[in-house]
Amino acid sequence: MAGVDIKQLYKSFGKTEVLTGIDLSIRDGEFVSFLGPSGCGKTTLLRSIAGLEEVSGGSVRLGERNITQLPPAKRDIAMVFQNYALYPHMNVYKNLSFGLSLNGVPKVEIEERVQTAARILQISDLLKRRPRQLSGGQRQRVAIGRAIVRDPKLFLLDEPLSNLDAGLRVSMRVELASLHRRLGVTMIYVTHDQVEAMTLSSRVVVLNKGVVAQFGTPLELFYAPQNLFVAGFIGSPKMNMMKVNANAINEMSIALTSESISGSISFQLSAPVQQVPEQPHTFGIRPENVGLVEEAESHMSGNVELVERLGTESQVHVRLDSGQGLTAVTRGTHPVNMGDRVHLNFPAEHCHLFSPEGEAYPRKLDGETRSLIERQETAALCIA
Amino acid sequence: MSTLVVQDEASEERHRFIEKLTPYLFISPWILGFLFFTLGPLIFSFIMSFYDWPVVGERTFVGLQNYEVMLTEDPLFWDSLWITVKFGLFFVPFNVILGLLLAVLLNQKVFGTGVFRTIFYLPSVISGVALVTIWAWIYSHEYGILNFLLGLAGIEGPNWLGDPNWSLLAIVIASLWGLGGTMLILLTGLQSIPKELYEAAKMSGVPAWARLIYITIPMLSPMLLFTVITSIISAFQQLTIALLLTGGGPLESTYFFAMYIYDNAFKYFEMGFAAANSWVMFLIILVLSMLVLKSSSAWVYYEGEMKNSEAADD
Repeated sequence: MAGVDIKQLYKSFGKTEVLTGIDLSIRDGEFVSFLGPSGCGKTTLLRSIAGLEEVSGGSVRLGERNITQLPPAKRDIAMVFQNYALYPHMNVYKNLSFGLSLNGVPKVEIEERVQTAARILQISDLLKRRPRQLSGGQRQRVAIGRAIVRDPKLFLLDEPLSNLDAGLRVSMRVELASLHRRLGVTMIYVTHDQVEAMTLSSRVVVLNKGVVAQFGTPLELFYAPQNLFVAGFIGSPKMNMMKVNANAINEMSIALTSESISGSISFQLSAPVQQVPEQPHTFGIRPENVGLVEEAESHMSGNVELVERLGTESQVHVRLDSGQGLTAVTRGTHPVNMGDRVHLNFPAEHCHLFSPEGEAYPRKLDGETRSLIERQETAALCIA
Repeated sequence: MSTLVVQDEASEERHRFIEKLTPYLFISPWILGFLFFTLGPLIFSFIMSFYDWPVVGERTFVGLQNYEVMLTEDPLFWDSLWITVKFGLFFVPFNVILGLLLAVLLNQKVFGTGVFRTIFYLPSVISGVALVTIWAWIYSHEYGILNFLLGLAGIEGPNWLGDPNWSLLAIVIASLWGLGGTMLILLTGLQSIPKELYEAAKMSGVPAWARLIYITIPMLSPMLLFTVITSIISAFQQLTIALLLTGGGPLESTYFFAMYIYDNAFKYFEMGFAAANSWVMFLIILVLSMLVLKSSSAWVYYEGEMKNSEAADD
């Protein structure tokens, strides 16, 4: 087992730069997800770690070894491919044992490793079948099994659940988590599904246009996004954002004003800020934190355009008086109706503020949230 | 009134008939070509094979006599058949294996692959006669480029086309000139193999030779089967190169079965006998192809195919 250290990793295909200076330090035994939209470079980063892509610059270390220039087979890494990449003409047993038998592993040991992996993944009764005769979930298990038998220091998983139907995806997700606990090996998981990333990972790397937008625990990403990209990418429905003017009241608080805000919103900082630039800032609030209140307590008002009732919650789409749209999430039984006039309140502890460059100001979180994030961080550290 | 209705019905019927006929009119060039130039001659030659059928003169029904003479009295039949089989034993494996190696080479991502692919396929589009002229020049004993090159290396080249020990090999080499077609089929096959299979193999330390043997060849087996069968057929039909390059000589060392048929038909004008020869050739090719096909269940893998025995344990 080993951690992964990536320093200043660059990768370009011809003139297109896909990765531009990635720095990451993944701890031994951690489950880390690479999350990002299509084309953000997450798969390229994974393939660079695997050795399937030659990097243009930088280094990758696995444990004590610099593996940047090693061929894939020498890296002690196993990979699970998105489309499983099972050998269609070999049965499951052969699929699992193929690499081992060509690397001079004794027959008895191969048998033992294959049987162990098959038992862990509950595919012992499928060993004689061809991939063609397996369901999607079973194929996925075989693909994982092929990684397990190699007993690698690092597992790479490239969107392994994306070809499965929704129900199976959830149950395989749970199994992957327990597999990680059981094997205790470092795993890197590429996905564009934030639910997978949030539920499986001890920490998540959010990638955007070939750079790391943020690397942190799932709750940190959600409650304390470091920039506009992460704020907009994590969470569903998306965080509401609007342009505001920011004026420092003192070192620890900023007053936010705009034409549509009645009065001002007071943003509480967790660390002192020396200067607040004059240019417009971006104010953010998650839909579930928007409160529907009496006019007197409200920051903004608008008309309800649409109410989407999902049962446990209702998503209320509001057209603000300024013309901008905003989404609020209320409890499922809230009586709000289409066409209603509503008044909105933004609790100070849930407000996000981003500088003109899109960087987040250090926000003051409520005690409960802060302790949750801290607990997740300690848990992530404990793995190592 | 009533006449009008009758007229209407008649014209409607005519209309319907034309409508039904239209699609057949469109495919008629092909249908007619097939009937008159393929199926017709096929049946006709079968009938001919039971006749003594000189080009000029009386035709007489002789029953199975043509077949009997061929199999029991004419040593040239067996000789030419044996030469053809020998040729096939060289030609078929070389054609498939070299075609495969070329395809694998041209499937690599190197600079100028497209140019190389074109160059290797080019001989396949050159007409047979031009090709033979080129080879006659290459093989020429005293002035040929092949022996000139061998001479540079200090080897005294044989009389390729004049020495019975070398002539058949010379024809094998010349006919391999056209393996671009085989290469093209296998190259297409190679490109349809998912690259993840190779990546997965690379990750688990499978060396390049093992990837070729255990992944490429099984995945390519349907195309390999096809090229083996077409190679066998073209080996049996080998005529042009030998006819023009050696004329069957020296000492009938390159007297192919197809040439035997050709001579019987157009040199001795024994059309009935030649037709019987052709039907024997057809049967041999048929049996060989069926044997190869039969063996294929053991070595050909089709994506999506499920053998009954495997399906049974579901």
